[in-house]
This record gives sequence, structure tokens and C-alpha cells, in this order.
Amino acid sequence: MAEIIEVSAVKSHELRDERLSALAAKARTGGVGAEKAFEDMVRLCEKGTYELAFQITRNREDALDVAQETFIKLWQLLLGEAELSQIKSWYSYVLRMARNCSLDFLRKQSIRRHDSLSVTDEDGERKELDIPDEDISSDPVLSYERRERIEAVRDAINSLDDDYRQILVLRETEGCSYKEISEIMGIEMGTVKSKIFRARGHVKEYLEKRNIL
Amino acid sequence: MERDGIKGAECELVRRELSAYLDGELEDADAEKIKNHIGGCDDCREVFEMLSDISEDIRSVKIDIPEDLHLHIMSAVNEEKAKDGGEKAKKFNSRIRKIALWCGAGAAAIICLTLIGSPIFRGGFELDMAKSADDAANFAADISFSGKAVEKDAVCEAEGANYSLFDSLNEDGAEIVYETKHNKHYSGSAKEEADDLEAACGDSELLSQLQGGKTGEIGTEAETFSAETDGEAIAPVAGQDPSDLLLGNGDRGEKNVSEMFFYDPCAARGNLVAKKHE
Repeated sequence: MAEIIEVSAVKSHELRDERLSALAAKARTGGVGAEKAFEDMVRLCEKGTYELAFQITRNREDALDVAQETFIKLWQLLLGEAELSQIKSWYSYVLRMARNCSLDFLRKQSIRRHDSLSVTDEDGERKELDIPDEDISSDPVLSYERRERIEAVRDAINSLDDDYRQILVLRETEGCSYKEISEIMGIEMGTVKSKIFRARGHVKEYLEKRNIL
Repeated sequence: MERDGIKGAECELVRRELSAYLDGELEDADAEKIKNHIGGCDDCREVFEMLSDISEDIRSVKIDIPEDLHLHIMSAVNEEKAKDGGEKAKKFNSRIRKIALWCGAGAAAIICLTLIGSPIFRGGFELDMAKSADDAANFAADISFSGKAVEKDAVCEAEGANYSLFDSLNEDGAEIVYETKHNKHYSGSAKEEADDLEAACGDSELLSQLQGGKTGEIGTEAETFSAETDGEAIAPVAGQDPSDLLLGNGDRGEKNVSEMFFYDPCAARGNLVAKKHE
């Protein structure tokens, strides 16, 4: 849970980026504390990286591979010769790397859109099972209605087009600002604003059709 | 009818901004307008509340984070580093050959200070991040010698070096570990480094000590000193005896550590990196 404590301790995006900038500078020195500084950068960014990678690849193992690849690239970047002073938001930069790694990953292989395991049935045929992202059905705290609503919202999110889903995750799960989202996705802020508006509208319509709202 | 039309148009404009208003992404003046509108418009307020509920619902949909995510990531990174390790070891070996082993104190010395859980600094120290351009979140104040510190991939040469040497053989070969009187270690690795050091020492007894994993000494016993001051950060001057510069008024012994600084041997400067919080 240490990494959650670390992230929650950063009360604003500015503080987080300030911290990441300092860590990046330290990691670049390659001297005393550089390795620890890099590891601290990983801790601050790994959750968001994984979540975004998961939303794109829709597969836990692939998201893990993408997360690994992202931070290998980050380490290579920090120890390289490239000029990095122009990076204002390291968090956005890392998530953008994660997104690019995810898209590269998808381009290289055929990826299932939903979490799945393949199993071999009695006839030796491989079948795929859909596995929910998180099993909340056994959570005794949640009421039936609440569980049903959350499942419906999850389905609504899954039905969104890739860009809308990624933007929604960046906004709602990662708490990214519109500016950060525009940097990560490589789109204009006006586009971010309209897509978030439409994505939420889509979720609303989905829930209305399921008579959840 | 016309008023209804105007109001309808206004509501349409407001609803397009409700998402951004919810996210705090509007300029103050625009946010104020939205706030005033939904305060007086039941329909738009209802839409806003619905968006707020949906936003909360979306945040409730959690993605299961693997418990060993960090471990997986760092393992992959470290594996990648190891691939580059061969190149770095070669560079380290060539530096080792330049090590001059000196006996006796005195002479201008360059000290590397690293702090790895030293008991002196364990309690009450919080790193004052703002003070140091170098993020001093991790450093070891482990000093038991003046002069030569050998870290993996970083060698700082100095004169007047005294140190204790502890070495143990692992299955991959010798690992050079420099042990201080606070029983802290920082190490180089690779058998080539141990061989080089032994060759530089020309000390067969040291070699046996290396292989036996015992603490060996070269020259006079390494001195332990504390980077303690009376509250003043002291900027060392290149060539200055580090024992003097670190102790301010020249006293040795236990003091309440109030400040310590990291002496960067490569830059011959001191950076205040830690300040005890009362």
C-alpha cells in the first residue's frame, strides 16, 4: 500500500510534478541515490500507468508487460543524452509513454478487448472466458442495487470507443486535468472537454436504457 | 415563446459546460455563470447532479492492481540494467586501476558521504528537499574513512585514504564491500574489481582476507567521524581537510546532529541536504 500512500500524499498535480521533476533530475545524475530516485518515480506513476495500459489492452498480463516496457523506456530516457528540460509534467509524460507503448503493443499482436483466460475444455478445444475486472459480487458492504449500478457503469465504459474510454479513465480514475489529458492523448484541450462531455453522456444513456438511472 | 427559446438556448450552452464545470476546468467568471444558472434552473441542476453521480460511479469502477506490480516493473528494469552492466563493469575496472592506497591521515582528502540507515541519522531527520538542488532523498552518512570511497560505477579518488575492506565471495565471484565502523557497506562488484584491487594493494594477506570474508585493513585504521555541525552548513573548500570542514569548531564526538551536507567529491562542493526537524 506504500505507493498509494505516496500518491495520496501529493495534494495537487503541481506537487506531484514537482516531486517527479526532482526525482528525474536525481535519477539522471547516476550518482548516489539515483536508483532510489528512479524507483520513487516508478512508485508515483506505476498505478496510473497500469490502469491506462489495462484500459487499452484489456488484459492484465499485457498491461503488466506494457507497464514494464514503459518504465524500461523511462529509465533509458533518463540515462540518455536527450534534453529533458522541456518536460513540464513528468506524470503526463510517463502516461503518454504508457499509452504509446500500449498502442504499439496492440499493433504488434492481436489483442482481446476484454479480460479473458483461455481454457481447454474436455474436447481439447480452447475456449475463452470473460473475467470481470474486479469481482465485487461478494462484497457484503455493497447493496445489490449499488453492485448492479457499478456493473452497469463498467459495461457502459467498456462499450465506449477506445479514445473515449481512455480519456474517461484518465479523468475519473487518475484525476488528470484536461491539460494533462491533452498532453497524454496528444489532442487539443477543447477536444478533451467535448469528449469527456460525450463520454459521460454515453454512460448516462447506457444506464437509462438499463433502467438503472 | 421567445423567452422560452432564449432560455432553452441558454440551457443548451450551460449543459455543454457542465462537465468542465464539474471538473473545475472553467475560468472563474464562467464557473460563476454556470453556478448562478443551475442555482435558478431546476432542469440544468438535475442534469448537473446526474453528471456528478455518474462521475462518482465511474470512479467506483476499480481496476484491480496486481499486488506485485512494483516488483514486476523493477525486476524488468533491473534485468535491462544488468544487460548494460557488462559495459559499466569495464569502465569501473579501469577506474579501479587508478586507485591509490595511502596510509596515514592528513593530506587533502575527498569524502563521499552516503547515508544508509545510519543509527545516528535514523531518528528525527527529514530531508529538506527545497534546500538541495540534488534530491537528497537517499544518501548515506556512512563515514568510517577519510579519503577514498568506492561506489559501484563511481570512483572518487583522493589522497590520504584509509579504509577498511571487507569482502566476501559469492557464487558469481568476489564482491568488494567497503565496511565502515558503523557496519554499513557500499560495494562494488565483479571479480575483476576484486582482482584489480588486490593487485593494486599488492597485499597477499589482504587477498586471504578477501577470500575469507574478513575485515581487512590497509594502512592505519580508518577513522570514524561524524558529519556533525553546530547548526551551520559548512561549504568545504576543495583541498581542505574534510575532518576539519565537517566538524565546524573542530570538536569531535557525539553531538546533536542538526544539519549535514552531502559533499560531492566530483564537484568539490557541499550541498545542504538534510536538516533535523525539531
